Amino acid sequence: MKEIDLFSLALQNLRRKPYRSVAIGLCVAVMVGSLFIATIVLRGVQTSLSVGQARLGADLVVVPTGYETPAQEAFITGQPTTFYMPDQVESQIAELHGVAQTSTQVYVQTLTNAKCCIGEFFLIGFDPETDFTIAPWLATHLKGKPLGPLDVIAGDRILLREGDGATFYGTNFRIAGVLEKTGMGIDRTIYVPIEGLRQMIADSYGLAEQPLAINPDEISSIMVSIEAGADIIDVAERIEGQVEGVHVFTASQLNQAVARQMQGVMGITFGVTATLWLMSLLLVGLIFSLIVNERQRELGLLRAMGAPRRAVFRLVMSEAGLLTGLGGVSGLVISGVILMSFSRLIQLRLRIPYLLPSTVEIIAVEVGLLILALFTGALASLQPALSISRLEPYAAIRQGE
Amino acid sequence: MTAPEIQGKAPIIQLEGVSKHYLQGTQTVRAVDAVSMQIFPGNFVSITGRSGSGKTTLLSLVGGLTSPTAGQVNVFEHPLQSLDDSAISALRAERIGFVFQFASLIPTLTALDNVRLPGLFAEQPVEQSYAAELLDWVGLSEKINNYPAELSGGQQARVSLARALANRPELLLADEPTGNLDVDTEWEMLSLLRDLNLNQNTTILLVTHNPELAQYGDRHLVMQSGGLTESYQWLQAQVAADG
Amino acid sequence: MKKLNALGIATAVVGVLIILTPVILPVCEGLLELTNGKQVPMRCFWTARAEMIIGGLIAITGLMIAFLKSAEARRRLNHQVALLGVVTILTPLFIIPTCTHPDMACNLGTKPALIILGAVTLGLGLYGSRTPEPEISDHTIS
Repeated sequence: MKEIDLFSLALQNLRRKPYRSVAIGLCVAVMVGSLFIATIVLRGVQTSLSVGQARLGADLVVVPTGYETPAQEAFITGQPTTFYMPDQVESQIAELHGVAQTSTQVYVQTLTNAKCCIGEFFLIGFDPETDFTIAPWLATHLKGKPLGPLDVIAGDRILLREGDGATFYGTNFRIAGVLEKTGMGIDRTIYVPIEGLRQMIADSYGLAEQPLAINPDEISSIMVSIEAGADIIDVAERIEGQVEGVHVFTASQLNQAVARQMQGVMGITFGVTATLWLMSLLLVGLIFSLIVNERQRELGLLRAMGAPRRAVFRLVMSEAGLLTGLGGVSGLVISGVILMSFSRLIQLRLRIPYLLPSTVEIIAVEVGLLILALFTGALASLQPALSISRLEPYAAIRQGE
Repeated sequence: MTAPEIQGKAPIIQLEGVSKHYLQGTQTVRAVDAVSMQIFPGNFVSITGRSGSGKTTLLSLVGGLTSPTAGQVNVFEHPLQSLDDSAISALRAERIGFVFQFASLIPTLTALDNVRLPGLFAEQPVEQSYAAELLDWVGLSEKINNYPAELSGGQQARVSLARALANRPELLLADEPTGNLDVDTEWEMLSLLRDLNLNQNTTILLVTHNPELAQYGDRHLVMQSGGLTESYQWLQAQVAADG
Repeated sequence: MKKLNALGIATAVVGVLIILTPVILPVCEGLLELTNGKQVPMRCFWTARAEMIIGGLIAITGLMIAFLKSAEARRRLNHQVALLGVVTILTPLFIIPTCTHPDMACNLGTKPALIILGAVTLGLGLYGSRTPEPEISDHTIS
């Protein structure tokens, strides 16, 4: 050791009982790690919801009654679904007070094994004439180029690039653009202009293995934007009251659905984490009572060498801080690796929208958890550190004689 | 010269009516009872007595490791009672060295780093070269980079002596420094202490249960049931020697 | 009982975990139909098989390290552990790559798990390969 200081002495002390140190460090690591994963997943869901909502671009989404749950699933996680209602519903809604714009969408049966891509994804027909949800995006990304009937827009997870060709149900399309990542269902969706979609349905009788049985006057959902100053809830209630057989989603309802879905999982996770924290606190406290007892004579000897009370106090606190700090850092590293590696798996298993929060936010969470780890060490070792530093050196040295 | 008082010099240790009583169950133990003594710079004083006679307690009172229930302890002309913890600690760090019966070296530090350890609490760190010099003096120049577990009991005791001297103390308080050692090592340690006293003029207060060791000091005190007296045999021997 | 080498035991445990990975986080289950009509398992099925064999090798090497007395022999075997760790990482990436689509089971769970365990194996092997440090124990004479 080049220079001896209290900190390096504390570090050396931890090496004396490597298994014990590793065990405590691991306990803190598990505590910090699970808290990190839980927090980042929760924040990831919130990030995804806000991005996804902005992308959704509609104030209200109208679907036929009886399909609330699959519709919700489709919006949140992109779980493909199909349901239909007559297209005259749109005109009924458009006439209502407070409704500014409406645009219809048609959902097409799941494609699991299209020629282009593997995995489930969602085909949605939209009407470029009336659309206001994808249109603003189109305006900036296609720079005013008109969208042909066979030009489609793909979500981020479809893994197709702009300009790629793709064949659905026997009809050849061209990818005109790829949407930004949202972590929500939109990522696994391909938007097809309604004209191209109707053509694909018609041609599917001759070209596809299985024809698509969708009538030309059937639609799946209606996107609604409300007039400035109108109340979202009022308009939603008016639609449900005056148009038969429809259910209206508001953006906040989607949020609540996700919140409900997550409540269970997150409740358990935070419960387990709180228990882990208490356990770490007790364990570190217990071990440090043991350590100061074990080393009472040695610490008394340090006092005889001229260490003042506060030096002994700081030595014990440094040891605890180092141990929980190192445990915390390893917990963050391990959980970070796990989170990065398995985030898609977690997302699909929990059926939640998820988008990695910003780097600044992740760093803030990491710093916060590290402070929690250090605080745990300090809190747990406070009593042992105080009692040993208050003990008369004579008594400490005589102990065990 | 029966009482080696050095004229004109203030005592380095002065105890006046010092008592240390404590309760053990319902009984009051008088570990140190109304002890007064003066020790002058350069003295080599041995204290012997049966175990439990209060030797270690007396040494701890001198070193400020415990405080007396009555009386006044002055070390380096400082009344210890009036000093706070950091002042007493500073006194120990800069001017007093301790050697105990047990070496209690830090197992994760080499012999050299164990010797340098007291520098942590003093104004000045202990230079590596000085620590190596001390280890050389105690005969461990070959072992400076060994860990305590690689040293014998006697070698560990010698490292602890080197450690006690790392801050160049004026006063060395030794509590049974040879208690665990075999006879040969015991004498080696003692000759080191004598060397220190003669050549560095370090004041030494040596507590030992072995009266044979006591004859090497220039003063021999005996502790009995908390009280302190000059050794009668030792005084007689001195008178005989003076002829 | 003789004290076993902790590093060897840890290596053996990681080896067993690698064997168990395709069981806990299965690869894709579907079968592919070739142009001649034959049904064959997907590519990742073979990745899993290969990794289970590699995991077995790691576990056996770990046990040997745990029981061997010679420090030099243990060090040699740890070189082998490090190498097997590299193979564990490279298999799903390059040697027998998993399926193409990132949302398939083999890419969601199995591959990252194998890469992490491979990295742990590599770390254990490298740590065990270093020249031994002096023993530090907590028993001084008091």
